[in-house]
Formats: sequence, C-alpha cells, structure tokens
Amino acid sequence: MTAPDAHPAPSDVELIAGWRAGNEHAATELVKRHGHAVARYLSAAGADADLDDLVQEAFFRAFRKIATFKGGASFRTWVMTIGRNALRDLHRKRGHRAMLSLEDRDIADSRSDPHNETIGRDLEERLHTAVAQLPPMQRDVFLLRAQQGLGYTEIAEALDTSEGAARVHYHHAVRRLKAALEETG
Amino acid sequence: MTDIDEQQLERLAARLGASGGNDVDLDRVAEQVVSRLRSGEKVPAHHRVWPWLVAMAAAATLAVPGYQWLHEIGGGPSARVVAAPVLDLLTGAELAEVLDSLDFSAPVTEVVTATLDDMNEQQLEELLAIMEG
Repeated sequence: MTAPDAHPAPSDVELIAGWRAGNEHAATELVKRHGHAVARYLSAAGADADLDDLVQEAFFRAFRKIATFKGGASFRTWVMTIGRNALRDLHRKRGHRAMLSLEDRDIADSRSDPHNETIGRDLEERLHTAVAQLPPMQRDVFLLRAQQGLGYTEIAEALDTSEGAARVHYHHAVRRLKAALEETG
Repeated sequence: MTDIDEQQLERLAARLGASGGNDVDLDRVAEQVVSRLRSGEKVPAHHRVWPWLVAMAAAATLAVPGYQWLHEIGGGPSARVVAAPVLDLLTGAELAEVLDSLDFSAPVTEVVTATLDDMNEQQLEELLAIMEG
C-alpha cells in the first residue's frame, strides 16, 4: 500500500488563486507546468526564432488579465489562445508573408538532418508547412484537437465559437491538409 | 502522391512543434515573466481596445453575396447582405484576420442580425467556403 503524498502538487486553480493573492512562486509554477505545451502549440502554429519570447508574452498577458479567466477552458488552453493572439500581433508587425516562413525553414532543416529522409519525417515537415498555411481559425481548431487532444466543447469555449462551427473548421482543415500532403507527396 | 488518412494526420500533428517547443528554457521564461509582472509593466493598450474597433470596421465592410440562407432573410436573390452573425462568433483577432483575407467589392445594402447558432452544419460550411474564397 502506497502512503498518500504528504504534499500533493497544487492544482491549477490553487496556483491561480495563489498568483491572484500575490504569490510569484505560483506564477512560476504555472509557467513550468504548462510552458512546453504552450511552446509546442505556438511552434506548430508558426512561431520560429521568437518562440521563447512568445511563450513569455503569452504567460505575461495571461497573468496580467487573470481576472478575466473564467475557467470554461483549462488554464493551459487559455494561455495557448493568448499566445496565438500574440503570434498574430507579431506576424502583423512583420507582414503577412512571415506566416509562410516555415517553408523556408523546413527546407533548410531537411538538408542538415540526415534522418529526415524517412517517410514519417518528410510527412511531418510537409504537414508543418501545410498547417502554417491554413486559415487562422482552421489552424487553431486543428492544432487544439489533433496536437493538444482537446474535445470540441473545450475548443469552442477557448476560441469563443460553437461546437458546430469548431467541427466545421476541423473538417475543412483536415480536407485541406490531406490535399496539401497529396499535392506535395 | 501521399495517401494519408485522418488518423495518420492526427498522429503526425501530435508531434508537431515538439523539437522547438521542448527546447524552450522555462526557468528563464518564468523568471522574465515574473520580472515583468513585478515591474508593473502593462499589456499594451491596443490589446484591450482594438477588438471593438475591428468589430465596428467589420460591421461596416463585411459582405457575403450569393448565400441562399441569407437571401431568404435578406429579401431577394440579388441582395448583398452584411454578415453580422460572425460578429458574435469571432474574437477581435479573428475578425481582423477575416478582414485581412477578404476582398469584397459588393455594395452593402442590408444588415442582418443573427447568430451562427441559427445555422446548420451545411450552412456553416457554405458560409465558411464563401468567406475563405
């Protein structure tokens, strides 16, 4: 029989309450708990060299407006959507074409990585490029579902849309991605 | 030609961003976030106010021609109808993306107030197809 943990990890809700009460350690813990998932999401959504800064910006904005977090979606998902907006702000500053820069990066990577001759690696790179070229809402829904494994209810809550609309966006995204992969295959 | 099914797509998608995302130094990120919070730095004002401005712009310019469901409400097959329903659905950032990606030339003659909840899946697909060109 295993003894109960004397100090179970605090829940997100407890850490959020801690931060609202001025506990900086609670904010640090939330960054460490969810930072890599947020970074993976933003990387897949088109962030590149600025990934560290974007993750920082997402959490900074989240903690600044923590009073608006209603808990409909998880804290992690909420931070992802804030990060997505920060990424869009960044792309607007650079100009829309920056969204497509992944393609160049993937080509460069494919020359330097000896393992990416495998079909799986090649497909992954082409998918990365294709995802970056999706319309924003389709990209967000696709990544939250396929990469993060969220259900339509939480996706709809996070993106301020309906479950039906989220399903439609996902359907369109899958169709476009399959077509893109078939074209480049 | 690559033949890929939806499950393969989802498995591939689950790995997207892993190499870059897992390299982020979270100790450093957390330290910088806390430092900015401690300094009293505020989120730039435009992040709080611009969705309202974008919504106003969208209400004035976003038009959807040729959509049967809106025609029924709009009162005629040649009607050009402002797609007010999306204003309830999209966030400010999403509205900005819509405005950035669309190039409407049709004159706006009528405004319809509705929500996307009034539309079935087929209608949503048609509307999305129109919006995406």
